[in-house]
Amino acid sequence: MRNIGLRIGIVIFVLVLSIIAIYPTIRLYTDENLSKENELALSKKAMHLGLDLKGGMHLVLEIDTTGFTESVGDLRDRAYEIIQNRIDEFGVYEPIIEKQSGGRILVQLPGVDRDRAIDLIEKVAHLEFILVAEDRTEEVLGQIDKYLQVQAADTFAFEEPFTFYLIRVEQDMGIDVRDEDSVRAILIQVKDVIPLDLQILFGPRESYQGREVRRLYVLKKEAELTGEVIRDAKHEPAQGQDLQHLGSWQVTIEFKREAARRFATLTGKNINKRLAIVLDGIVQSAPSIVQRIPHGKAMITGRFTAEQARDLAIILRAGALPAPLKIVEERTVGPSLGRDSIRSGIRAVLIAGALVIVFMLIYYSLSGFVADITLFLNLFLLIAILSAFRGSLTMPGIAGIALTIGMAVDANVLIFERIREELNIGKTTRTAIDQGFARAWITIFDSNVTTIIIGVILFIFGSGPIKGFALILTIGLVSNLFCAVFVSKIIFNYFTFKFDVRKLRI
Amino acid sequence: MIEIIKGTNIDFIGKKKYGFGFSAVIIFLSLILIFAKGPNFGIDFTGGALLQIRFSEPITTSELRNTLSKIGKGQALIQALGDEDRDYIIRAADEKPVEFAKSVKKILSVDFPGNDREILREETVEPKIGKELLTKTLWAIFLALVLIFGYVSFRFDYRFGIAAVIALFHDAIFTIGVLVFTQREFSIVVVGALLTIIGYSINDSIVISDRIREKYKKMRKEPYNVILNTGLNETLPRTLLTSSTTLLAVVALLIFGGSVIADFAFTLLIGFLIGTYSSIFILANIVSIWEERFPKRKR
Repeated sequence: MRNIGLRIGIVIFVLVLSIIAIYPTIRLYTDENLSKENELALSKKAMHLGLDLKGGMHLVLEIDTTGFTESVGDLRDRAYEIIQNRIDEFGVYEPIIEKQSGGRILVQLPGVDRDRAIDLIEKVAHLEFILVAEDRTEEVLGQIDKYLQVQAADTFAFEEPFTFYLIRVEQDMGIDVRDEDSVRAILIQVKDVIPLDLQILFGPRESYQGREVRRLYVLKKEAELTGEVIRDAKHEPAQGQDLQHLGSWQVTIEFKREAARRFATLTGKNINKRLAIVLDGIVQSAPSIVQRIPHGKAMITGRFTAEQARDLAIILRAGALPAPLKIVEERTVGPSLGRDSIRSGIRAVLIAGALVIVFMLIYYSLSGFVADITLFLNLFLLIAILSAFRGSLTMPGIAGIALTIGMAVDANVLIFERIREELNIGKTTRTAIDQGFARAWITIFDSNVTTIIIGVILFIFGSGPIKGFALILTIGLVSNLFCAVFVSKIIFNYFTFKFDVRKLRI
Repeated sequence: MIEIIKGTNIDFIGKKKYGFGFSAVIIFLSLILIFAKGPNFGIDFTGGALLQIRFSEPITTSELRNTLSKIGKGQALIQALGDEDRDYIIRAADEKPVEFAKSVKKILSVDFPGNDREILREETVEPKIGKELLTKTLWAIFLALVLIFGYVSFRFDYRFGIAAVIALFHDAIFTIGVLVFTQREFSIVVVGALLTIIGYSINDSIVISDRIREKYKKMRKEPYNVILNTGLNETLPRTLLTSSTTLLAVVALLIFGGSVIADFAFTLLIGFLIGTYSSIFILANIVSIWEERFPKRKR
């Protein structure tokens, strides 16, 4: 009975702290009429749901350094800045973006449209303005055809092996996408024939007169301007009389001052020529220059939807990636699987809890009831600690809760069995309780330490969801030491003292 | 209140040949399975792609297989979930996982235009990441074993430490054997479960070792095997009770926990069962044999 007042005081203190810690979590996940600001404020203090429960994507990107002389670290750092800007502007709630060793970047985005997000992150967004070499197109095509004929002289060959594939798409030439592989193969074969100051690039896929086509352009090699000179980019509905672009969107870009001057000179010198706007090696559009453009603004038109135009504007504002990024690991969970998981997870935990509680009641009677109380307290503390540290609850974490329920009673079982043994050799109730707790404590401590060792290892080596499991397992064990040993002893001491219990129902 | 097991006096040590015999058989079979068939490594370790898809209309495995064959991916693993024929997992160890996932999604939209699909889960792991994960995992397991051996040796006799670690290997090998036999995916989550089993199994071993150590001090005059037996018998109620509650929880997880956690729960179930067995029949028996061959105390 020593210092029972002090011990009860400690328990009440812990309880009050837990209630304070757990309140935001409970409010956040049960109150449906929360305002946006309230929700934000609460979530800063609450337990989080892992990506596997909330839905979202986990990406590990690796920078592709082939052809770059800069160090991997530098390239990664620059890519990191740009991705951060893009995601900031895209407006994702609580993204995680981290640099990792080996030129890698970790990106975790809760609840986003996967394909759109990947486009936003992966796009290098290297923007170039390149003059179309219309006056030399014929010449280049002729050279390719001639070269191919010579190469295939002894076998059957078309008269125009390359031009054969070309079709007319409005005022441009193009190809059917079904021929794309063949055309690309030819272009690789004839790369030495194409004059050094020229290049051939494709446009995006589009449908034209009922077929899927891509336009083909002969462009100068050298870009007149590149994306670094952009000051701002906005998306807006395409205006104009052009029926084909009705309802589509475009992106307006504004150049920095010096670049605006260069753009004015460029357009002034090349009136009636065409200027291609090339994004990541694909010709978005190639409008004719009608007049000198003095104000430093240009438009990228295409068949963009509002979303596509918005994302493109974001990307252009944030700037181009210093080098391409490759997805080396992706784990995306759709929102409905997350919901399914939460539902089945909670059901499993409730059933596990009910089974264990009933089992303990039947087996240990009133003392089993004490164990059940400490079990509830344990779960309460577990969630409170998780909330206080803003930990994440993952699906393996839910499994960890179920497991904690199963294993938490272990300490009680150890203690109760000890007390039973002490009673069996004829000790009084109070001595039996004291001795039972004292003897069992060493064992409980030893067995918990090893499991905590495992928990820590899992936490260090494990990835996202497993970390969640390790966290729950470890917290559960620590709070269990408090609940099953400290708290349940107080309950036993208090009741045997108050009611002068002679015979313990254990 | 009830006491199912009370004052048992089972001669576990005397029956050690049955225990060892049984263990030898299951370990032998497990090892054969592991080396002949090999674990069904998931994409976490091999690299590859996994798509969990929910179709709006029922569809059959063979329809899916036909479609995948068209893009030369007929060898991919197709697993039906639930019983509505709408949820499927398509998984393949592929050199180019991102392209694989893309082409599967594309061919599905071409072949089943009227059957709307929702991608519930999409995972791609590059082979080199898989290799890194594997190395990392092996290190984690190694570290876990070393630390546990260290702790048990420090708290108890080193013989208990070694016996406990042997029991751990015993449990882990058997569990992996069952996983291979049932062709369950060997993923990073399953490794998490294996480590948990290790933690749980050692937990039992410690409780028993603890009791034996205590008896050893009190029963100095008794033969060593009697001490071991007393320790085992006295802790038997606790061992079985704790196993029962833990198994109740794990079975609830397995039945009601859903597809994502099923492999995890299954691994735990097998591991906990064998862990309970090994802590009763293997641990003390190893120490007993040790004591017979190399007695630590004078008889």
